[in-house]
Amino acid sequence: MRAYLLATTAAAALLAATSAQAQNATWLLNPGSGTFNTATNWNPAVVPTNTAIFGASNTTLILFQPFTTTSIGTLQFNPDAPAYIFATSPSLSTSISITGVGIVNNSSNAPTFVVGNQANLFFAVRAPPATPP
Amino acid sequence: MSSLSSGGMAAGSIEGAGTFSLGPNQITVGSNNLSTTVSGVITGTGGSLVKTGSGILMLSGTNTYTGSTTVNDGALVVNGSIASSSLTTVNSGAVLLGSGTVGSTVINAGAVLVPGPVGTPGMMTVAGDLTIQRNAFYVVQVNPQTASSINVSGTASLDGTVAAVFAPGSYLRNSYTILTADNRRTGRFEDLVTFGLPRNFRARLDYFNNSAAWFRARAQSRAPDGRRRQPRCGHRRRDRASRSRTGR
Repeated sequence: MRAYLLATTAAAALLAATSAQAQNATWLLNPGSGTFNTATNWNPAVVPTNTAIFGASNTTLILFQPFTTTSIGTLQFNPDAPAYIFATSPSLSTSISITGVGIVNNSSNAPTFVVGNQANLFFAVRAPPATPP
Repeated sequence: MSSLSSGGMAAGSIEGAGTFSLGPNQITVGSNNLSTTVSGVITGTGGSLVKTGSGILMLSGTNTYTGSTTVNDGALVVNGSIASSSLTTVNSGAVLLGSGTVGSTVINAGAVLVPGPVGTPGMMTVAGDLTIQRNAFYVVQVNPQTASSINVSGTASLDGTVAAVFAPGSYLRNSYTILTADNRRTGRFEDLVTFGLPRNFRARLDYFNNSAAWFRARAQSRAPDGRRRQPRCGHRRRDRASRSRTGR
């Protein structure tokens, strides 16, 4: 019985830790909207907090949800990515924080950031760990 | 393809009235060759800005980032302030212009410095030192009333070529101050070229007391028979040659 309880507790802790892990997701080719913070616009259907991956899509104007802080580790653009525009809604408080490696652009197109007058774009970029000699 | 350096960011362009918080990072913008305006604020202790691409980036806010500013391509228009930036460097083929305030600035060979908006004389303030390297260009826009100028709070180290562009109008003899240095001026401009200098006018550069530079434009005197006394200095010849005396 004791072993069972321990195993159950460990499994629950692992599940909790997994659900709190940073998520990677890819922006859909045909998303339902242009809202970054809508899970169903991503594959898997979760708003990414680690790496947001962008390839070909018919929706390239992406808006961030106002009155929230969106935290992203890395914005990664694949070779087939068109020119994305990331924007905030005018006059609505919005905060975007890029906390990981930053922007990794493997496309010939480069993203544009349009930040409204009540918005803040933080480049809290983390330098990659030093390579040992 | 944009590249990403350690601790840096590369964006096609940035624009808007919001806040861009760089922290200590470098952001490289402009690779999509679009012309954009940041009317908000770029902040960041140690944060730096690199402008690439053929577009124009206009900064109209009072920015507070403290790292360097580098203009590699296209144009950076400063109508607000980047006085907090430790050093602004304009490289060959790029242009720095505007009516705002920059910090210490170096205009390298092949780069262009234009105070004010394009087409109208204006004033730029350098809160620090200004260095205009040999083979750099300082474009002064002139109309009958005034000319572009730069006020340098520190030391102005001069070389390069002054290109004076005269707007159409009725000109009288005049002296135009084109640069003042609150600390001191060292060196002199290498050359003066003019564009649209009125007929029978001549222009030359002068310097005052190691603190200012100006150029004089005045009508050339004529002999009683109406011919120019010094035809070799006439407007047509000068404009064709695009060179005037340097006042050295």
